[in-house]
Amino acid sequence: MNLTRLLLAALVATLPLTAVAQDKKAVSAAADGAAPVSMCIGCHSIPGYQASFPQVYRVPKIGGQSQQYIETVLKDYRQGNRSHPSMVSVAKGLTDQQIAAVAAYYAARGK
Amino acid sequence: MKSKLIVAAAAACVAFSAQAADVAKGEQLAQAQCAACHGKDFASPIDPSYPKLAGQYVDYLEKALRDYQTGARKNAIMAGLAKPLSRADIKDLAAYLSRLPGPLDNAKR
Repeated sequence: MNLTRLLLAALVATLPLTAVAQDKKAVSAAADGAAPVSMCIGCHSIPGYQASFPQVYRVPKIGGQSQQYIETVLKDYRQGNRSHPSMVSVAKGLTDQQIAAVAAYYAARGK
Repeated sequence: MKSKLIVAAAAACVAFSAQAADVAKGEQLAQAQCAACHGKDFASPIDPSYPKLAGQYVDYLEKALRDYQTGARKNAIMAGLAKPLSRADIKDLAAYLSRLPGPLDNAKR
């Protein structure tokens, strides 16, 4: 009885530690340039790819835009200053560090 | 025979509705209204938080300007500039800007 409680307490005590460790990993990954672009490439790395909802148009070329502009855009989507459904949900899931990393990734990929 | 007539009529409608963009008019408008911030070559904006426009897709540029008009995209400066534009102005501007050479790309590398 007492032993189970002790074990449980020990387990709970380690939880915050692992959370912190994961956070630190995410930040350093971003700093290393490992940008979370898996959500971007399906549309933005296919020449001529068309958005089909809510309007039909080709998704913008973002390779070669400045890092600051891409950061501005992602934060605009996150705050609701722009309204594309999939871009809003992508941007809402990104931290400031991840936004900076994604922006740096695309800024370095112009012609 | 009848189907040929229908096809011809449909083609005529398309030609009528898809008015060709006037690139020269677009250039005039762009240099007068947009170049001061986005750069004369539209690839070197005066502030890094402003987008490069040269070589961007024509349909995306049109959508961006329409969104500034409706307020779907919020930016005080761009709203003021986009509001007075007609549909033809937007087509002309986008046609000119999309034809310019620039650094934008979307190929995976």
